[in-house]
Amino acid sequence: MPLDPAWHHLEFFDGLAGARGWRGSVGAAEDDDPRGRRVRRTRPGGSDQHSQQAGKARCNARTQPAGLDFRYSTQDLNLQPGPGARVAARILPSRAAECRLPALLHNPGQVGLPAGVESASVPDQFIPTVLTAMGIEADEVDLAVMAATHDLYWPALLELLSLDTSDVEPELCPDLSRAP
Amino acid sequence: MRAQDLSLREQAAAIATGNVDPAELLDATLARIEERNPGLNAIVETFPERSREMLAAAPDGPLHGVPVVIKDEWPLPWRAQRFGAAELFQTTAPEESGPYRALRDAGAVIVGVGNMHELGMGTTGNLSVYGPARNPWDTDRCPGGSSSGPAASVASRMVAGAVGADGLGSIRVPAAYSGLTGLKPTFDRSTMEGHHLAAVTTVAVSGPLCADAADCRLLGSVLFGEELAAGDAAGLRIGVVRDSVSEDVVPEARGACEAAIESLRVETGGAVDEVALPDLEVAALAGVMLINNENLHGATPERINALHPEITPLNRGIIKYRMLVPAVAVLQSERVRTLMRRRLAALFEQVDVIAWPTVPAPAPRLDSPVIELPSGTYAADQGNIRSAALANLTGAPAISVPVGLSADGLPLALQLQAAWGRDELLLDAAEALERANERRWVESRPPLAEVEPAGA
Repeated sequence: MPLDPAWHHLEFFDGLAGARGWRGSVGAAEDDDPRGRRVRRTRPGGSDQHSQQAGKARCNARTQPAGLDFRYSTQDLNLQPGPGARVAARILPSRAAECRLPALLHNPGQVGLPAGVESASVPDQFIPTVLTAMGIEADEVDLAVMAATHDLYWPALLELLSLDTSDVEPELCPDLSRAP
Repeated sequence: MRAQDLSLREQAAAIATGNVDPAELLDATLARIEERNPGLNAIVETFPERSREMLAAAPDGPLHGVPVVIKDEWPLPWRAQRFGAAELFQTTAPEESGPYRALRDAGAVIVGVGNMHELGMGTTGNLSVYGPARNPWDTDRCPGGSSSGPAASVASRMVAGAVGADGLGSIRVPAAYSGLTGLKPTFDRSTMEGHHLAAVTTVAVSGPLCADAADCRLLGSVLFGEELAAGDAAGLRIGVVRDSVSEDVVPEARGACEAAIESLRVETGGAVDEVALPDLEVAALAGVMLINNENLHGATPERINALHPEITPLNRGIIKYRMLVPAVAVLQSERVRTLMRRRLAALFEQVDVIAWPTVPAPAPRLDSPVIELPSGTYAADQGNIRSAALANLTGAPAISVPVGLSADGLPLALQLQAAWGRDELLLDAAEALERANERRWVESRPPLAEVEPAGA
């Protein structure tokens, strides 16, 4: 599988992986790519072009996000080698669970993370499992960022879900320009 | 004083009365951009010939001949928007967008495109395909985002007015960081035509960033397509919320905002009342959930796997994470929206505006966009969104007004929010606040933008 030369800027991260003991999926990647860079795979269908929508946001005229492929079949959850093995190998939980955000990534000029975002552990199952189910590729940098994002948002998301809104009758197609 | 240093309305008036030649103003503005922009990266593209064509064809509108900047969020007839990114999920092309048409029909001259935070995915402006814009008050600091370039271009007085957009504080935060006045209009009052997410967004609006409220009124009227008439804020009932938005704030921002609220009360002969608005932090996350979902319009696993290599690693990871958010969280966010809209409507029966700091801390450093709050250290986005999201979630208008400078010489700002459709009241209140502090803060300028004498 050919390397995508456009990823050369990730040599910075490759260096980190070696110099700072980056674990994550580097080992898995080495099976595919000795230099530990991203490996693209060609997908059928190509990009999904959407025509630009104009006009006001209106519930009944809103264009639904097209083409989102939420496949939750057991086949898609299979992480064993198969047609998507290269993807799965990169995000196997056993690898991803060890991924950490190295302190050197705190240079926003390189990655854009605020220095205050400390190392975060990748959730054991959630991220890699769903990524695989959806057919989304991820490398060690993606996983590190996703883990940090998850640590940031998931507790708040649980708080959001725990708010009792059972007595809130939702506004259907609310006119957000006016009071309810 | 040079014509470039006049306010937006003063430039318009000077051109209308023949005291300023708009062609000379355009040339002077382009020269100032050439001089000041390299250190700020606020404007990512100029097009002098197009600008001159606009001027040549400019009708006798309220902004006849006045130079303005527009955010990289709308297409122009000669340029597709890039949204601060190497790639969008949505197809874009050069065309006449609503803000472009509004400016053109008002006689304005678009002199440049303003930088912005990549894909609108942040309130700091430190990430962009063009490189970060810099804060004119301290070029090592964030200008705020996502309307980073519009804010920095006005704060540095390269232009007197700029068009931004606000989906989760993206006008108010850069206004606050850059010492400007920024209006987030009531949802659907200002034009969003031609925006690549116009058909799906329930949170984003176009709006003005200017030095003061009167200029925002003028530019806002153009974007609204109707006059935002000046009124009277006499007897203003101001609500304050004792919550993290007003209390988990750096002391100097809290002090400046409390002083501003009190001076606004005195100036308007109004009253300040403590009001309850629970679950603001949950509401902020609901806003995040909704805008995340809307911004994924057009995203598929295939397109995400083929993301342009120049999308920053941080946003690449966040985009992929967004795909994993459970649908139940989005549905719950809609319910929280309803809940907060009803609470806000009830609250606006008691008070005319609610007030809290626009941002909990002044502009952070570009190389470390974190803030130290009483409760701990946070990514600046977290604190900013907590303060800003309610207006986007509910559709209500809000305005950020400068109210002081920190010990480090960075702007501090107060946010006022009002009921749906009461954008004019916010402008009236902001003008009352300017009177109360004798326009001290709206006339403050960063050192690099000090007024130049006419003969200099």
